[in-house]
Amino acid sequence: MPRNMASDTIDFPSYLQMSVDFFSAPAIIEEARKSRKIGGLTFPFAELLIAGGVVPIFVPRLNKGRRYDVINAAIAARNALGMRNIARGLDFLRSVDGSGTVINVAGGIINDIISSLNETYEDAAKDAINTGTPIDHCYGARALFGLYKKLGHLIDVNLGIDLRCSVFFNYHESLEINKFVKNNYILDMPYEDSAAGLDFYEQEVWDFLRFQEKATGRRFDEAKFRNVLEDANAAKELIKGVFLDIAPGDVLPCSPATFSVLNSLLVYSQIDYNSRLQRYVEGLKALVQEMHDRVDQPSKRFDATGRPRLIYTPMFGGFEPEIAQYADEIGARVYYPDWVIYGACEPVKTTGNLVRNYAEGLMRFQHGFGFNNEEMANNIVSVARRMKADGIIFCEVFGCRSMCTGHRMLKDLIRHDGLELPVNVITFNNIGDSIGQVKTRVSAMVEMLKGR
Amino acid sequence: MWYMKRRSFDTSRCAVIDEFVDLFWKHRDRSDPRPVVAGYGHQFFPEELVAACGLDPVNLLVGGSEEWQTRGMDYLTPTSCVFSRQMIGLLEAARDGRHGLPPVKAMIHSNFCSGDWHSMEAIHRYFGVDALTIAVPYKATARALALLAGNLRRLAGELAALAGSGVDEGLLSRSIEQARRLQNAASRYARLPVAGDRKLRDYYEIALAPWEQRVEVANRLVETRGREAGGSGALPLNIVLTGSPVLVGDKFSSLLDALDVPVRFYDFHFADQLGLKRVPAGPGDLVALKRHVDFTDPFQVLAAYYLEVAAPERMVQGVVDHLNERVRAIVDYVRFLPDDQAIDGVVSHVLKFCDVYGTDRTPFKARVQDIHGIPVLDIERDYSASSTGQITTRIEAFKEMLVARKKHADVLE
Ligand code: SF4
Ligand code: SF4
Repeated sequence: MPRNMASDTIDFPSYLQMSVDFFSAPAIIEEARKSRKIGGLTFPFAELLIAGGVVPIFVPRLNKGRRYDVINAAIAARNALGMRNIARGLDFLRSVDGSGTVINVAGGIINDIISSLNETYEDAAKDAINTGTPIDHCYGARALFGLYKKLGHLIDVNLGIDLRCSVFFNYHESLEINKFVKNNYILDMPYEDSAAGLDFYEQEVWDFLRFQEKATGRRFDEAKFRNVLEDANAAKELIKGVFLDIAPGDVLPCSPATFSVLNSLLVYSQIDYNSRLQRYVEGLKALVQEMHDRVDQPSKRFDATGRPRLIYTPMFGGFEPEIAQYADEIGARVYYPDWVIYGACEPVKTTGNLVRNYAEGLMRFQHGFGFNNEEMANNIVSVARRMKADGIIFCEVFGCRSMCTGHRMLKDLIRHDGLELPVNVITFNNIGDSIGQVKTRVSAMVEMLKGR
Repeated sequence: MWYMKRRSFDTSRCAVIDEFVDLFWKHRDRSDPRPVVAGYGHQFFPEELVAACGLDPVNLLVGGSEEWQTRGMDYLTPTSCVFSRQMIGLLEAARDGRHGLPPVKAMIHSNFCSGDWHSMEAIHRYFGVDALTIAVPYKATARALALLAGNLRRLAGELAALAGSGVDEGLLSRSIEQARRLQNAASRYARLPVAGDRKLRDYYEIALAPWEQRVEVANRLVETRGREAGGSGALPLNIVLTGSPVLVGDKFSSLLDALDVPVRFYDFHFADQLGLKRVPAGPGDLVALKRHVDFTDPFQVLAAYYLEVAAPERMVQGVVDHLNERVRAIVDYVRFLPDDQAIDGVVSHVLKFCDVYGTDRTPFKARVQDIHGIPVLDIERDYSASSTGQITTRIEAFKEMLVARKKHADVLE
């Protein structure tokens, strides 16, 4: 049977598990609230919250989307039947949807949930405009603004990181001005790559930890921090392995379309480790192991030989999910290695001064995004080469005045270095807005790459 | 450099920059052009420091060119702010020796917003302009103060090397003192009933004069305009123009004059804000940093000014939210008016894709109107001519409303 999203979902339990964990945040957080404080964040720095006894949450996950019923059903099925049989447990949807075989129903589940997550984003981005966010702000800032407006009251403390982009700083500040969150801390990270700069970051981290202690009444625990960092390092290593070991190969553990969805799941779930770090690491281990197992099994793997590898970046601030599926249909594969490119998958040293080490991690992240566009472009090219990419889809988000200004530098750098790495700059405003045009451009790129 | 490519230009004069150039040379010798150290047009241009190092500082307060804003799209994104794109067009033209600008020895590269940070990178990479970087933290804290003071010291070293001089703290202290005198002169000037394009030009004349002459130029203008006003203190309407700076040569400024809505207060860093803000002279001039500044160290004084005083709208997590600071400043202009007058209206001008002044446009308008009862006209635009008709109609309607409101208030009194 050829691999597709339907068959992947039904017999890829660790993937389904990860998805269910990701989407079941409303229930997890509701339960956690009974005894713990909840901390919001937007970038993958949940370790600081976890070591302070706070349950981290990437706020979009808090929304109960249109298909939250599916997630509830999945949780119930998992509890009753175990993870391996979860797809069978979801068989009931067949009668609800009247849509044919179990496989079709199960295969549609994750897609369906993802599109309902996208709807959440869309609605929030529109709502932000109604609340006065300028219509020309980038999608990510608008959507997050709208989501915090709706869900910010559910968190006890919020960590904002001032990284690279002034729109983002303004967005963090506007959460406070509009009183969407209580106990908001904005971590200042000046463009300062020196010992003094590093001291600065370290002290900012300490200030946040004190702030968090005051807001939550829980002490930051250094011994726990070490354990948290070890777990987080393990998670990052596993995620890096997916992008740098598995993705470059010609044999994939599942269809390219599923692999793309899985990529995006990793990007978004790394932000808060699905709110439960240890479980997340266990889940990732199982996922990576199962990926390797599947690569060894002819009935489960997908031979992607001859399918060009396209890196799609930046995607975390808003992207067009349909492109990956379309690329699969026309014989290509799309990867989303954002956190690998931008330095969020690098381990933090677990000996010596841990907070200092963490500050170094923040500095690496700052460098990952680039103190300037040239640095960012170099990072993209470097990861593209490590992933054996054949081309880059550079997503120019409408309204972006920071990261997306790097596309010219990226192209010039590639030309200057004489690399055979075409860059396709596509524009993104709202999901689905210019999908036809984008498909045409991606298809032209894939054709050109195949013709080489 | 690999990234530098040339392109030919038409070399005709350009209305947007003509006035800037003329005012720049007004107090300089055109036959002896000396290189300048240029600022990006924003608040984070430490002119005091540049001057103290023996160099000629000029802030590139140039805005309004549709052609240049379009050129900038080649280097940034179409949704980068209009001003940052336009600056690329300007510097591209300047590289090709257009417009009679003096040679630029170096530019200060700062991070007021993403706009200046990224467009300066392009200007440096593609047009070979030397950039001296000074990154400013986002929170006004003791640690930010120490970091920025250290960086200003480093920048002073770089500037001194450029000038072939040394860093002299005494000279910097004197330069800071001069900045305060200039601010005093500006607050006297702000009291005069001068408005519209003429006022904007006066501020340009001051801003573009050589540093050591600015106080004198300002005092002379105070005298001249005071004489011209001859004791009359009232204008039909007292309008504040705020938001993304409207610069000389930009047709928006002359449009306001043409529609008989001359601006009484230009709430911009190089204009009437000078009269409201002070380089701190003692702890009483500061709030967040009052306990942290060593006032014998001019670098700390300057750092405190940039962090706490110069641009609260760009900072985060200040002692009060930055929007309140902006609103307070608008209301504060009343101190320059005779007792029987008030601020009648505010024009909030946002250049398209400006995040500093664009993000909180709606709450800004709401606070000024709801809390202080001052009507606000919110205008977003770029440098193209296409929307002029619509903007004209809105300004006219706003004016009519203000006039009617004022009449009504007079009757009630
Ligand atoms: S970098 Fe671009 S997409 Fe990201 S927050 Fe800034 S403006 Fe938005
Ligand atoms: S974003 Fe606003 S403040 Fe920044 S360069 Fe553009 S117009 Fe100026």
